[in-house]
Amino acid sequence: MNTLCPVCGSDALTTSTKKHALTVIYGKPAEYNEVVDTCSVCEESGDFSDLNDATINQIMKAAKKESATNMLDYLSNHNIKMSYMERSLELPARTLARWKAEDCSAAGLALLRIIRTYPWILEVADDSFSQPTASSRLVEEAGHVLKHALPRKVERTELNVLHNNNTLQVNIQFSSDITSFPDKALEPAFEQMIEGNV
Amino acid sequence: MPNAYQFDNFIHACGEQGKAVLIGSSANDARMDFGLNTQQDVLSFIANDGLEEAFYINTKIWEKNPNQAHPIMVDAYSFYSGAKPGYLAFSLSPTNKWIIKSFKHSPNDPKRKLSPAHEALSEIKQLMSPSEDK
Repeated sequence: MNTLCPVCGSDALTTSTKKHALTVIYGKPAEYNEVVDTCSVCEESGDFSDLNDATINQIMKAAKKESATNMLDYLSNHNIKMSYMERSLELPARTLARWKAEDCSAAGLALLRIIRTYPWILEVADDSFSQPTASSRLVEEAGHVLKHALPRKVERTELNVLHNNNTLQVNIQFSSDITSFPDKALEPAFEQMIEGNV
Repeated sequence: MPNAYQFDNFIHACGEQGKAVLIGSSANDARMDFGLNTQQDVLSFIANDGLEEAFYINTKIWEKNPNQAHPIMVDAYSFYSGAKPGYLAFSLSPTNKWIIKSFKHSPNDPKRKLSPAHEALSEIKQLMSPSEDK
């Protein structure tokens, strides 16, 4: 059966291919040839023969598997052991090894992306996701981000987070040898930090 | 001009095999802007109530229609997915298929100007302002 334009119903279609690269989170871009049907009557275009979905699913499956391996390797290289991750997240032993060697589910992949992005979440998990630990680790990490993002003119940055069951105390200090900033633009500002580095 | 189609009919059709298709750059925009890689991903997202706070914008005539005697209307909506604002335009073709002409990020939605990160930083900034220290 001939492919028809779903818009106007014409069969006057021309087919071409276009190279595309799909973003793979924590992985290399996955390249594929996209099929594009163009209708010469209404000039609309698209994948009217419905071929691209299967191709995309196939290449993304391989690319995601590779990204799972990359993420586990990264965590391992940063001295985060699989057995620690499994214990803190209450995953059965060898789960991560299985994800690496065989297949990683969509849920597993999502979890790995979270751990890869926020490795300190494991400490929160290891403390049974207690609210004080969750809050203090979050603020501590936010402090690290701000510290790294501070303009070079600022020196002696210090971050302290203290918490108990009732209170959370955060202290971020920074100072500079420059008593006054010659240019307003050089002054530390949160907007600069987030735009430049976060 | 009122909307040409019942929005719920469109949503329902997206959940049925072969009833809706993406055309033009909409598939690529959905991929780049919303991480919905396949046409099926987009249709399943819509059919499963993915369009939050859908808001009717306008209805226009499909300009490329080769049969001008039978005008085809295109409905446009804004929506959110989480904090991300989007834009959607669709029509019902003479072949009785729902055609998604546009599915993309719409960052200029005036309803939410600040990203969550900026909102959080504004709050921190306010907390750390000199007047608060006193």
